[in-house]
This record gives sequence, structure tokens and C-alpha cells, in this order.
Amino acid sequence: MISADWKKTAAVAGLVVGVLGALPVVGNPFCCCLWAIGGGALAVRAAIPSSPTALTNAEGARIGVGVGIIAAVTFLMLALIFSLSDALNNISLGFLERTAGNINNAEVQDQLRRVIEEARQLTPVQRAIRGLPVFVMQGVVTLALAAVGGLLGVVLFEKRKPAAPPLA
Amino acid sequence: VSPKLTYAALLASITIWLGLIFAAPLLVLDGRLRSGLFLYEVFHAVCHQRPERSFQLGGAPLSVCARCLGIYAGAAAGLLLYPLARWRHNRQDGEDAPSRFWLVAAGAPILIEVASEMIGLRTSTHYSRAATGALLGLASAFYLLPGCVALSRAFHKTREKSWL
Repeated sequence: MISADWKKTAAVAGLVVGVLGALPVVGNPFCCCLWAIGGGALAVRAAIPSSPTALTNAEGARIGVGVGIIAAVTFLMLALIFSLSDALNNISLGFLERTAGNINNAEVQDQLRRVIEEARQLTPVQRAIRGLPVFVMQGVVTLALAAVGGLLGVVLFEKRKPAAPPLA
Repeated sequence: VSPKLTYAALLASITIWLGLIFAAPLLVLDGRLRSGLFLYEVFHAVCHQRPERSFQLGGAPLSVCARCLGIYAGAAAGLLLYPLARWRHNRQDGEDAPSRFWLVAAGAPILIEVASEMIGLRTSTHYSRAATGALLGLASAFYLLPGCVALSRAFHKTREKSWL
């Protein structure tokens, strides 16, 4: 059974995951999915001591989904705000340029560079509108990964045996 | 919701996910640049996408690195193998998972690989990264499916209660 304060734990973990995921300098170079999975798992770890009985898989996933929702909303808001910044936008476009540079087809490379250059010329508001579908999808993925983290958190950290079902 | 339906939904999700990983380079090479870049950007949330650590398809890097590809492909393989591993099921409700030891053991090769590369003992290849990732993904499937079955049951119980 989850104790009543699991929502507070999930909110804190979600905020941390959302901020780390949205920062291009932190989120991109490292393996990125670890923020969400780790956040879900650690929120479960934090909820275990205050839970009177062993947490079940379903409760772990619920905590993970809670972390994921907060993380996804935080991520979405911050990503939109960061897309207004030229410097942070250039970091994000830099990875697309790297990808373009590694395509062994000169014609496709040129076309990609043109598309990236067009993206660079957009006004901050146009950039935010263009980025919105990407950020929404990234938020959904973050939510799913945090739920996976919650499930794995129960497996890794819950050492108590589940309560036996009541006898009929 | 029956465990079989949850199983089918999870297998379908991971198959679509794997398909999208391969779709990004194919779309770009086919000239559908905006769709391809959209997928690359979405996958950027879950992977560093360093081209030097990614398999290539037709001359373009996949939208996740070799290790991430291994994890997802391993998870798909684990889900496919799950029905064959029914010998270890003690319970029939689809919510039982193996001991946590196997999950930790399956993750250990990645830690060893990363550590040995960091201290300069060896250099990892795409294949070694994919293989260690696949091992972790394969093991994870045996924990994720029971968790998803338990979650879908809990969700439907809550919904039934809210209707009463």
C-alpha cells in the first residue's frame, strides 16, 4: 500500500527529471533515458520506507506514471522556453547537423543542411511552434520511461514479501 | 484486461518503437527530410545519438545508438520468448517476475564494458555495445510484462469502482 505522501515524492522526482531532460547541456550528451528511468525508480525507492506493506508492481508503476506526468509537463514547459533562446536552440540544432554530416549521400546532406539552416532563421516564436509536436512526443516518451522506472524500482528496491491475500 | 491482451499491446508497442528507429534514416534517405528529422529529434530525448556509436542503414545513422538499439531489440526478443519461459511460472495470474538477481546480473556486462572502456582496458564496438544492451533488454522484458499486467489490472479495478 502506498503511503499518502507518494505524490510529493513523485512531484519532486518529476521536477528533477523534467529539468534535467530539458537542459540540452545535461540531457543530450549522457544517456538521456536514464534520467526518466532513474527518476521513476528512485521515487519508488523513496516511497518504500513510508509504505506500511510491500509495494506492488502496480503501485510502483503508479508512482512512475506520477513522476512521468510531472516530468513531461516540466519538460514541455522548459523546452518551449529554451527554444526561445538562440544559444540553446543552436545546441539543439547542432546535433541535427552532426547527424546530417554523417550521412553518406552528398545530395541528402545538402538538403538537410538547408532544412537546418531554415530552422535557424526562424523567429523564437516560430521555433517554439515548430518544436511543439517534438516536445510533446518527447514528453510522452519521458512519461513512459518513468513508468518503466517505477516498475523496475519495485523489482530492485522492494525487499519485503507482498502481503498475502485475505482468506475467503 | 487479460494478461494476453497486455502482452499483445506491449509487444505491438515495442515493435512500433523499433520500426520508428529504422524509419528515421529511411525517411531521410528517401527525401522525406522533415519527417525523418522529426523522428531523430523525438529519439534525441532517449539517446545521445552519437553517429560514431550508431549502426548505419543505407549510409545514415539509426536514430538511437548501438546500445539503445540492443536494449530495445533485446526487450522485443524477451517478450517473444516470454511464453516459452512459462516453466518458471508458479502463479497463473501473469504477475510473477523472476528474482531481482537476474536483472542486476543482466545489467552487469554494460557496467563492466563502460568501466573497462573508461579506464582504457579495451575499446567497445557497435556489436559489443548492442550485445550487452540486448542482454539487459531481454531480462527487462521478464519484469516489465508482469508489471504491466499488474498495472492494467489495478487500473481496471479503479475504473470499475468509479462506475459503482
